[in-house]
Amino acid sequence: MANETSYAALLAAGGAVARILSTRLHQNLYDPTSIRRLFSFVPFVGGASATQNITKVTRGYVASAATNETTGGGSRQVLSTGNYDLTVARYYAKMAPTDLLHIVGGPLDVDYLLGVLTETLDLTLTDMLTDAFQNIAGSVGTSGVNLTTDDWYDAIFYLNLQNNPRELAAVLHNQQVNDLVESVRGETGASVHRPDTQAILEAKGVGYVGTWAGVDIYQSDSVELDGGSANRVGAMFSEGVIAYQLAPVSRMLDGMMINAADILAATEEMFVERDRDADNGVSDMLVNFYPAVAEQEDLRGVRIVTDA
Amino acid sequence: MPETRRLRNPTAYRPQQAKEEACLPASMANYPFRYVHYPHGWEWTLEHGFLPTLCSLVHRPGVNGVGTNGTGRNAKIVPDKAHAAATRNGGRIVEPNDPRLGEYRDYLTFFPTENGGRHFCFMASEATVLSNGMLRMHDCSAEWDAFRAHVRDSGIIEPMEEVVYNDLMELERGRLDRITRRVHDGRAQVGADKAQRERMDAMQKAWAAYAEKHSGRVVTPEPVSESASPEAGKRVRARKPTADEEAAVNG
Repeated sequence: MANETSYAALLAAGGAVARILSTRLHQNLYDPTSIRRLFSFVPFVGGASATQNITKVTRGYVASAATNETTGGGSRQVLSTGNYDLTVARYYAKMAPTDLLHIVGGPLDVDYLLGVLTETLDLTLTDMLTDAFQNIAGSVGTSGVNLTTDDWYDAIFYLNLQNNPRELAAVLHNQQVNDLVESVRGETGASVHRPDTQAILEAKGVGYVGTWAGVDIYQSDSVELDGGSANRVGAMFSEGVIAYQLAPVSRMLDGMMINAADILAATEEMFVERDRDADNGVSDMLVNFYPAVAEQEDLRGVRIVTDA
Repeated sequence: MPETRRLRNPTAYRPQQAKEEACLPASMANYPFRYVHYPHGWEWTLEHGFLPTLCSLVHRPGVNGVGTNGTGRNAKIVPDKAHAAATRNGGRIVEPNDPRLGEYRDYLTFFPTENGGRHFCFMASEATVLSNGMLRMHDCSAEWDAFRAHVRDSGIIEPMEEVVYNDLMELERGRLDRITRRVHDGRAQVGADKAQRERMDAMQKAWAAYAEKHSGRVVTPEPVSESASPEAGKRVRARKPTADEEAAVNG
């Protein structure tokens, strides 16, 4: 046979192309975990300062017996207080699609880029919160040794000794979660037939991975290494160990500091603005937000430092 | 009056080939930090004895009061409030330029990352980025432990208190109880508790030497491994030296 109109011939001479762009997008693996709901949110006040000072007060006083029925009086008890600061700082992320990108089209359009930019707020907060873990004074775990259920209970006991409430949570690195699950596998006795033990042995993923021994467990790859790069520094804590804040950017938008037409997206906590570079045919998309994170009460948390 | 100029020996033109500098992925970019020691932060290691557990006070704007001064590329990080808060909470900050650090001075180092960032890390850190993009940080725990031993001995941080030692021994006693139960239940090899008892013995001996060196107190260790007594392994209380012992120490 001869004179076929073949794909190969058209490819060479014209009429067919080697490949076309599919509209389907595959998202590579990444950790989108947001852990901010585990921590205390402090509303921003403003008042001519980027720093907000929060008072801490200690209660739990008891009365003293009177020394005499009619005389002697009593000593005054001083109310014990402390304080800490939340200082907001500007954070931004920028992407710059060119005019040509808009013209040729494709699945990676402005909306997709907007989604990438707006999720930076939660991811940045997660990084800031795990950075704050590293300054918690108390720690459990043995350097260079995998996380075990013994370390888990050491952390629970440590927090209990500090009078922490019953509701506890932990944020661990992926490796620490794996090690904990491995240790739970080896448990016998009182732990083995509990529903939470059965549940924790199921496959895990990012974010919330389960509850064991009454502690909610979250996994995040933002959990840092220690100085020797041999251990991960996770944490177990009750609510109130760390506080965070997001300054309301709406004040700036209401103040008409930016042309409304240049605001691509806005919420109370962040906004995305456009900055046009006409000379170079580029439009910068810039997300802005003003977060703050601070350790509120150290004894509400304990670092879990175990083999990476 | 302009003069005729003759130029010779032109420079060979070579298109600039950007040498690919070894960098970490952009996602590894982080912020500078300082190590901080809090009074209760101690742990036991076989090689170096009692070592301080060091926290990292990250100089990240917005975290623990760290601020910035200036704008754009000239912005400087201002960590004063974070340092003050750490000190108020009993922490001792280990400054990288402290001369008492000796060979570990300037422990804060960095690797460049893609997109012009920096990954700040301890001075002995190493990293390998495979050709498929996988990143592995090398274990430098030996150098890290040696650094912490130096910090302990340099006088930068406060010595360990007896109450901290007692808390550590309480944890070890709990571990011994758990291991002993597992041996009896058949969930651990016979003799598994021996290693834990030897560890506790080593801790007691190390504490006896440490207490004598730092406070002059004489502490008599009670070996855990040799005794089957229920009192074995319980917290050791230092006693005040007798007059003869004081005279011997003070000469």
